[in-house]
Amino acid sequence: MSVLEAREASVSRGQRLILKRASVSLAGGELVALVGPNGSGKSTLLRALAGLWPTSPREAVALDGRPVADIDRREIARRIAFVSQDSTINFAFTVEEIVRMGRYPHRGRFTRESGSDREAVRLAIARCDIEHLTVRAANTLSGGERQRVLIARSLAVEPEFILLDEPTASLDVEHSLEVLDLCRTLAAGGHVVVLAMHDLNAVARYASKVVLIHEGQIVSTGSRDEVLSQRSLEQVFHVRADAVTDGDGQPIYVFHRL
Amino acid sequence: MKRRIPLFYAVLLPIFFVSAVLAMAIGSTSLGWATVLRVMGGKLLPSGWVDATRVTHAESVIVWLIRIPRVLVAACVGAGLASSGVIMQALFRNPLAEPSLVGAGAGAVLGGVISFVAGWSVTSVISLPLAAMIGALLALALVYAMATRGGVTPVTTLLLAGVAAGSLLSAISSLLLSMNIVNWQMAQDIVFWMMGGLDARTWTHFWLCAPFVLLGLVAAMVQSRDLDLLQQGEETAASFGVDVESAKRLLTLTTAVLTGASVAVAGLVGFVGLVVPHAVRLVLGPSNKTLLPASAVAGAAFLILCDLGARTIHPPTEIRLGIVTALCGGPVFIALLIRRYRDVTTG
Repeated sequence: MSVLEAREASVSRGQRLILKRASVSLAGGELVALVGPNGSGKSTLLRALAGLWPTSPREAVALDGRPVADIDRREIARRIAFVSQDSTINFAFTVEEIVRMGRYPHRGRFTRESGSDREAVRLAIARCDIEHLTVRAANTLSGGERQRVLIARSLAVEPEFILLDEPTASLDVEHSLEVLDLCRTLAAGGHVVVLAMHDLNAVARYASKVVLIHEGQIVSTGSRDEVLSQRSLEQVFHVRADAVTDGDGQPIYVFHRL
Repeated sequence: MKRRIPLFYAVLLPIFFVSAVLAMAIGSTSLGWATVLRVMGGKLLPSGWVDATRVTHAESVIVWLIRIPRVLVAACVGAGLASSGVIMQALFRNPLAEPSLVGAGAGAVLGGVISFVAGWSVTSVISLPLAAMIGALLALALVYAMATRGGVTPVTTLLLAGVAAGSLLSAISSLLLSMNIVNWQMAQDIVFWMMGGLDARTWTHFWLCAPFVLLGLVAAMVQSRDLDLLQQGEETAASFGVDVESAKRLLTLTTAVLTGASVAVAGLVGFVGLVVPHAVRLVLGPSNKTLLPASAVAGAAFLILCDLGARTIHPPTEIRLGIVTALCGGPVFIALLIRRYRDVTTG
């Protein structure tokens, strides 16, 4: 089973250190939630894990022990999918064309689409419930539809790791539950799914592991109850949380400003 | 959009060939299209297939040494400018971008002006195109060096550096022109060349331009998938396996070669690189693998027709080609813009 790991990874942008010695290890079957206030470094950590931003030391992020900085870009793209928070789609590509881009890392420049390429695209489209949109121009979709198209594109890659930066931010209730259920199914199927997100109730409900990040540092990693404690919520988010238990015994947090 | 491709070529290719033959037939000496085809047949087909005796020597010279090279140069320039426009629009994620944005056009003009001022252009026909192409590449190198920090070249910075370098280089061209205005003949040559034109183009010009346009087109086609992804933003492209910085370098270099080769033999011809890809995209969609060759053919046809217009609107004087393309392309572009607004406002 593949392991994606950050060991004391730091990232700086310009003069500012925005990720400080972060260590986290991701392996199959996990649904990991990355939580923290705005600007705490969630997106940075995701990008570092996806090999998109350089870390210091250079080999701090490793896939199966090999530094991602040394792995061919296309190989990383085949194994780690990253869905950015920015869901703008430029130009009138059709939804199907956008999803098919997910197969690019698998094919040579001149290789034709194979049966498995088409099957992966079809499956990705079905899983994200966007069959009815395939011929639409992707730049005319609503924010939520676009988000699902981009998730479908990352599923078409058939990656081992899927890193999503606030995938439910622009979705309505139904579709955000749908995306979270999909993430849970993927994790159950052996994928590693990492979600940066703000909705702590959804985190509590779905995540098998929670990583709390604050001012560029990982504060704690562990189960929901270990990480989302009263103390850490107060310290990191400056809120007091009353936990109410719903019918299935799941906690529902109600937040109050301190 | 895919279904439209055969129809697109079924309409465009006949337009292309008919305008090419028309452009070879019409001119200060009008020739029949049969004569044109006979001369071409006599030159290209094995001897004996076409009755060459029915063509006079003068007709043969006009068609083979004057009109055909001119039409072929027009086709190459149109194809080169249109396909470099496709690249620029994808790279800058903006359907209104055009080849001159990275400063390659202004660099090519300065190279050309220097070759006029230094007197090289009089001594050899290839010095002007060569200087223009070198100018385009040097300008690009300058722009890239200005826009790159720590191995990263943000496209917005690239755009700003390109516009800044473009104005600077154009100013130097104008400065050289003003300083040499006393040499009236040369100043006139420079001004005419800058306005774009295909008068007196020979096979030499064709061979100077065609290989580079072909090279640029092939290079662009090889990178068409990277372009599709870059069109969705650099981070997306990187996360789907594109080596973004090297792809950008290679694509800008491709644009410089295409623009440089075009400006080299035709001077500044505006609007082709802007209007043609934009219009073709409306019909065929934004996928670059389809868009690049389609825009190249459309650009070639468009420029042949514009050049035909330039020669025949106001005989015996030729209107400068750059003026004709702007006069045709400008209104088309405005129409496209208005349509765009209307689409947006009516949903």
